[in-house]
This record gives sequence, structure tokens and C-alpha cells, in this order.
Amino acid sequence: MSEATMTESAPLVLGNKTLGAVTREICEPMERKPNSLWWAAFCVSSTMLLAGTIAVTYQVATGIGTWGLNRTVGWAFDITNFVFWIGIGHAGTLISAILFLFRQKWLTAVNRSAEAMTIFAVMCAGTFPLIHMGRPWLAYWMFPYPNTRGSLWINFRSPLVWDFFAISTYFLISLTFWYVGLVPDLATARDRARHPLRKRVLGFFSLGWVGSFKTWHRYELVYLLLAGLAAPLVVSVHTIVSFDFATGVIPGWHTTILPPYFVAGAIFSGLAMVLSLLLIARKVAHLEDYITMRQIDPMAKLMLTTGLIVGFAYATEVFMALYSGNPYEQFASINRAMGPMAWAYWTMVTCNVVIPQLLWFKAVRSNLILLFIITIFVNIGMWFERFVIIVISLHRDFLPSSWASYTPTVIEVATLIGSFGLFFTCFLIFCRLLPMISIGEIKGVLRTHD
Amino acid sequence: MSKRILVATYESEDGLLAGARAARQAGLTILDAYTPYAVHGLDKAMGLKPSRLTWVCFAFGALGVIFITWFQFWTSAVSWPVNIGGKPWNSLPAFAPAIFEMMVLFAGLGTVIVLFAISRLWPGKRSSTIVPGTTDDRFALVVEHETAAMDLEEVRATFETSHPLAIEDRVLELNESRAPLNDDLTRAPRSQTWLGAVNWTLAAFLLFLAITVVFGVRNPTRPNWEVFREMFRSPASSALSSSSVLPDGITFQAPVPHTIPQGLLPLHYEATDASAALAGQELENPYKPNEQGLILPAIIARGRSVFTKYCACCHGPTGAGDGPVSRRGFPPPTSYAVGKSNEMKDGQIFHMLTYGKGNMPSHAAQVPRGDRWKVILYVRQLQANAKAELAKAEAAAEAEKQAAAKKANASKADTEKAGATEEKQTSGTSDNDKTSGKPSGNATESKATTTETESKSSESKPLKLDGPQTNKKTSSDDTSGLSGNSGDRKS
Repeated sequence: MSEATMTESAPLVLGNKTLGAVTREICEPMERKPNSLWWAAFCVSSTMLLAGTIAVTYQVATGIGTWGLNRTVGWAFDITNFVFWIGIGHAGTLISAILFLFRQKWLTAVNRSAEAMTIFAVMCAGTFPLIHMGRPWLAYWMFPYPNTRGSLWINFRSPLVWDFFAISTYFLISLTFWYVGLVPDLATARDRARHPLRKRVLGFFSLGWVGSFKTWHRYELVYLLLAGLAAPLVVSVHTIVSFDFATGVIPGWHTTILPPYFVAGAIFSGLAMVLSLLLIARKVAHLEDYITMRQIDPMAKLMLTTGLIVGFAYATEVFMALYSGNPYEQFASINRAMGPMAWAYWTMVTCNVVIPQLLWFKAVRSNLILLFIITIFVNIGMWFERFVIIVISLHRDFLPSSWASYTPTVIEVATLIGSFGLFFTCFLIFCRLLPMISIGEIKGVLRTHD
Repeated sequence: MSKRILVATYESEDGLLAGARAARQAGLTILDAYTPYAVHGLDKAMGLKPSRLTWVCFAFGALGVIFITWFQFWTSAVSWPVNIGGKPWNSLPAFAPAIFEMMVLFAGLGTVIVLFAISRLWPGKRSSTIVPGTTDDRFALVVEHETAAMDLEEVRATFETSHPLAIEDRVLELNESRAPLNDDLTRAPRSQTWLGAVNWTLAAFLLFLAITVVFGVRNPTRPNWEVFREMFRSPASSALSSSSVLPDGITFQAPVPHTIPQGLLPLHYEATDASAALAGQELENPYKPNEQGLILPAIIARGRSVFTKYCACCHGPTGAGDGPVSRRGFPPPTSYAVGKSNEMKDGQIFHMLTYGKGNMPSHAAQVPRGDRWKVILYVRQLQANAKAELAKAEAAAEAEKQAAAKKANASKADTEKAGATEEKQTSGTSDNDKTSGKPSGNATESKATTTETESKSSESKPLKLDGPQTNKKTSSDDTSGLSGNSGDRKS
């Protein structure tokens, strides 16, 4: 009890720092030369990105036939990766928008990197529908523009068009939200910069910000409004992603539980990814005083909560299928757990439901290595969740004559690796170019103890 | 024109807050404050009124909703209405996701753009700081030094209690001062009581709705009110509903007299043996083997596929009459090895598939015409195989049984084998014969039949005209070398 109270009243930032020290310490990683650890990580991630780029180039040049898809399993790795990455992005918005609305002060230390993660994850996610089109150079056909084909408009009743609107809105709003948060910090970095080019570039993007309180006053309101808009947006985006499946008639897809189940799963996976990244970043960038147990502990608890919601959703899905009396639903449910791809289902259950139960223990939550391992398991499990929903539901549909199986090709695996490469490369560049922690916001909570 | 200002610099927010309060009490005009972060409570200390950007956000959101709602209706229902799955043109429920997304996009981007515009911030703008370090760890309060009437020392004394680091007296050129400082503060706050009235009216309306829903009279026998009907009611007419435009008010009109559906030329036969024999004479398989006696492998493959799906359940995979249905007690069909089917002509088998025979029902509904002809070719293959197998088995049995009388038996077996192969050849090339010799022969034959039956009865006239015509049509289709006649293509 006393320990818990102590944690609750511990300062958000350790080390009794002055305002100047905060500026210096957060700006330092972007001003000094990168260390060898950063270079090592950058080499690995950019190699992964290169592998993915080669795979995508080959696939675009040759055609979708380079994937392991067939007439029955028409969606597999591509859409699995798409949903996985979109889900990863959602934790960033949860932290910076929803928790901001709940006045959770601890989020100030992590919201910048979480939002960056959102943007990079949405970029990764957006890649997959694009390359899935087979002719990505015609992707602009998704946009309702007046055209020479008699102005044939897009079909607004199609979930895929909803997806287009949801993902592009999500990307633009996340980017705006992130940029608005960055402007004061860019001004801080600008005023510290010595190199004229650096000063100019930062000066261009910091919009001439000087910290006028009249602007701060409006800025705070706009930030709140953006948070208020982003919070329902994040729910809507994954709801619409789940409509891609729920509006289909495939057993295992056609359920009303899918939207809430997807949203909870998205936040669960995203929190795991935020934690994985931050546990490393705080060590590499020496930000241990800013990213403390005050951030890690609530995020681990949130992960446990959303993990329980996801587990509950799995159970509900099975129950509804068995209780429905619909033989196709029942078969789909049994086939998931005992069919030819049962290994994927049980990987998912183990990683998403069983392993996170360790987070009930405070000792586990404060053991950062163990916590890191758990987050990796959750990431794997959530990837498999999408694989289970998509591939296992598709490979056994109504007609036994159309049953088929699916194995990914090298191209598909390389594309998945490449998406991780894109994500980590972007994140590493972000760590070097921009303040990883919101300087303006952390200064506001420097003396906060609650 | 220039402006005199006082700049008080602090190193903590506490001093700034105290200074701002003191300045307000002394009746000084605070032009602005410069802080490294949003200091909480400074807006009250400076007397800033709440920003009206909320309304900008609302207005942009509303604009987004109106625009995309109109746009979706216009594109889907007016500009080019496309019937998609019988959905109505105005599918409002399906338009909801895009409406929501566009509302968020317009509201978010619009508010941010307006924020930057009214704060006079733009990309590449040169920053002009009043006091260095306001983006790092310094706080500055800028007060207007209005008139000479105000004693400078008095003003300094006002700030002394808040312990500033420094107080400076400066002169700003107005055009320079305009960028960082604006004169919002000098404007008198407007009364916003009408907003309160709007809020209370909305709240009262919502309360009224809630009370109506909770305590309102309910009629369980009345069907629910459909808020969005569009998705349940298709614009396409139901076949059995009445019509306001079509003759007699009937939607499901009878076809125009003397017309036939595409690809369904009528066969004027009856389900009798005599009619079957007639069909055997008149009809010819359009997928005839070519001069070398070869059939396109794709045709045989299609025949095998159809056979496996529709025939093998009774006839068995090899045509031995041992399909799963027969094995469970249904009277088995005769084997292809011994059955009469060997002597039947293609047209006769076609008749059988189309009209049924004995226990075998008609397969006209399941198997399109082209496929029926193809499956016959496959059956011919099965027959040949079955007979060869039978002959082989018989020969082997004979050979074993009469092992003692070797010489005589050997010669007997030889003759039998020779017979079997001969038979196989004939069955295999029976179509071939037709191909090579038939075109003219067939024509004369059908011509002969025509004249013959014409003399018999005028009623059966269409039959003779139709028989050859059907053949001609299908065979001409077949010359394209693809999958068969129009019936097949339709499937």
C-alpha cells in the first residue's frame, strides 16, 4: 500500500530538473552524432526495408501472382499486415488523444513517440492495399474525382471506399495532430541551433513561433479539439476496417462483435508496440528520467485490460458460433481451433490471452526485460489474430469443393519484413531529427507530483 | 508610428503569474506574455476570454458533413446512378462512414489552418523574439506603456513584488510590433448570452426527447418505425408484385410470342424410346473428332469433370455401375462394358441425358447442352476402357482355366484378343467414320427424313427443320475450338 502510494505521488520527471536542463537533455539526442548502437539498428532496419522494396518492385513488375493467394484464399498476408499495422497505429492516438481527454498527465513523456509510431504504422498499413491493387499507379482511382470515363464515380456503398476515407483521414489528422504538437518544440530547437542550415530548416517548419501566450491560449484549445476529434476517429477507423470483413458473408467474418473486438485488439497490439519501442528508446537515447515507471506501469496495466477484452471477445465469438445453431458458423469456429491451421489459432490464444496474465503481478510489470518479452509475444499474437481471422475463415468456406490452403511465398514474407524495415527506419530517423519527447508539454508537468 | 512597451522577464511561471495579476490590478494593458509552455492559469491572470475556435471547429465539421452528404447523393443518385446489387440510389446508412470521416477531416484541418492564420504563423516566417530564451526557460510579460501620465517608477514598483529578472523599457516600431503582438485584448468582450439561450433550448429539447422515449405510450402490435428504409426497399420491381407501367399491371410478363431464349433452341422430342431412336438418327455430336480421330483434350477434360459431378454417383468412376448411390441399394445401372449403351448412337444418349430413361432422371436442368455432348465423348472413352478391361480379364481367366490344352487355347485366346481390339477400334472410331464421310451424307439423310416425314404428317414439320439446324449451330460454335455451344457459355 505504502509502495503504491509512493509510486502514485512520485514526480513525473525524475531528477529535479530545471527548465533549461529539460530543453538540453531532450534536444541532445538530435544534436550530437549518432552512436554506434543507432547505426547498428539503422543498418538492420534499412536492410529490411531494402529487402521489402526489392520484393515489392518485383511483385509490381510481375504481378500479384507472385503471392501465394488462390481463388479461395484471396486475402492473406497483405490484408493481415494491413490490419496489423493499422492496429499498431491506434495506440498512439489512444495515448495522445483519449488519455489526454482523461487528463492523464503521465502521457506527456510518451505521446510524441507514440504519435510518430501512429504515423509510421499508418504508412506501413497504407502500403498493403496499394500493392494489393496490382496496379498501384492507378490508386488515385479510389479518389472521387471528375474523370473522362463519363465521370464514373466510386461506389460509396462499398466498405473498401469507406476504408479509403477512413485511412486517409486518419493519416492526415494524425499527421496534423503530431505537427501541431511539434511546432513549439521545433521553435525551441531552432533557437538552440547553431548551424545556419539547421536553423533555417527548423525556422521554416516552426512557423515563426515565439511562445506568445495568446497563441498558446488558442493552441491549447485547438489541441483539445483535435484530441476530441481524434478519439472517435480512432474508434471509427478500426470499426470501418472491421466492416471490410463484417459486411462479407464468410462464416467467421459476418459477426456484429467484430468492430469492438477489432478496436480493443488494435489498442492492445499498439500498446505492446509502444512499450517495445520505448523500452529500447529510453535506454538508447538516455531518457530514463523522463520515461519512468510512471509511464510504463499504466501502459502495462492498459495492455492487460485490453488483452482481457480481446480474450473475452475470443470466448464470445466461440460461444455465439456454438449457440447460434448455424452449422457454418459452428464449423468455422471449430475449424479455427481444431482444423489444419489450428497452430495459428493456439499461437494467438497463447500470446494474447495466456501470456499477458503475467501482467497481473507488479513484479512482472516492473521487470523491464520480462515486460519487453511479453510485449514481443503480444505483437506476434496480434499478428496471428489477423491471420486467423482472414486466412482460416477463407480457406474453408461454404463449398467443400472450393476448400484450399495457403502458404506465403518468399515475396510475401519479404514484404512483411520490409514493412517492419520501413517502420523502424522511419522511427530511427525520427529519433535523430525531432525531439522524442514533447518539450513544451513536459515542462508544464515538471513539478507535477500526481 | 511607434509604441512604448515594458518588458518584464521572469525565470519561473510563479513570477509571471504574480506579475500579470499585479499589472491587471494596476490597470495596465497586458499586450502579451511569452512562455516556453502553456502556463496554466495565466489566461485568467491576463484576463483572456475563451477562444472562439470551438465554433470554427463546429462550422468546419458541419461544412464537411453537408459537403460529403451532398456529394455522395449527387454522385450516386444524380450524376451517374449505378444499380449495385439492387441497392437504392440514396443509401444513407451506407454513406454514414464517409460522412463521419469527412466531418473529422474538415473540422481538424480547418481549425488548425484558422489557428495558424489568426496567430499569424506561417511556414518560413522569421521569428522575432522579444526576449531571448522564451522557447527555453524564460518567461516575459509585455505591458503597454500608454501615456506619459504613467510614472515609470510607479510601474516598476508594481512589478517589484513579482521579482522579475529584469524590466526593460522599449520602443517598438508599430509595423514590427504587429507581427508578434496583436490587439485582441483591447477589444471589449462581447456578451454571449444568446449562446446560453441556444444551449438551454437544446438541453430542454433533449430532455423532452428522453422523457418521451422513456414514458411515451407504446404499442407493441405496431411495427417499428423504419428510420432508414432505403436499404430494405430495392428499386427493382419484385417479379410477383403489381406494376404501374407494364401491361395488365403484371411485372412478370410472358415472353413475346414466337421467341426463344438465347442459346435454348427447342428440341422437338418426347420422352419415348421411338423419339430417342429418332434423335439418334438426327442429332450429331458437335464435338466430332477431327480427321485424325482426335478430340481436343480440353473437351474430354470437361466431359470427365461433368461425369464426375453428375454421373459417377450412380454409374461409378469407370462406368461399371458401382457408384456410391448404387452401392447403397439403388438399382444399379448397367455397366458400360456390357450394356446396350455401346450400340447407342450419340444422339440417342443425348436424348437419354435430356429426357431421362428408366431410373435415370432428366439431367437437362443440371447439365447444359454442350456439356451433355462432351460427357458423351468421355463415356465413349470409358466404354472402350471397360471393354478392353473385360476382354483382358476374360482372356486371363481363359488362359488360366485351360492351361493344360495350351495349343488350342492359345489360338482361342488370340482370336478373342483380336476381336476385342477390333471392337475397341470400331467404338473408338465410330465418330471418326461419321466425320470423314458424313457432312454430305448427313445432309442427305436429314433431307430424306424431312421429305419422308413431310409426307407423313405436317405437324412434325418443325422437327425436321430444327434437327439439322441445331446441329449446324452447335458445330459451327465448336469450330471456334473453345468450350462449346451457347448453352455452355451461358453457364
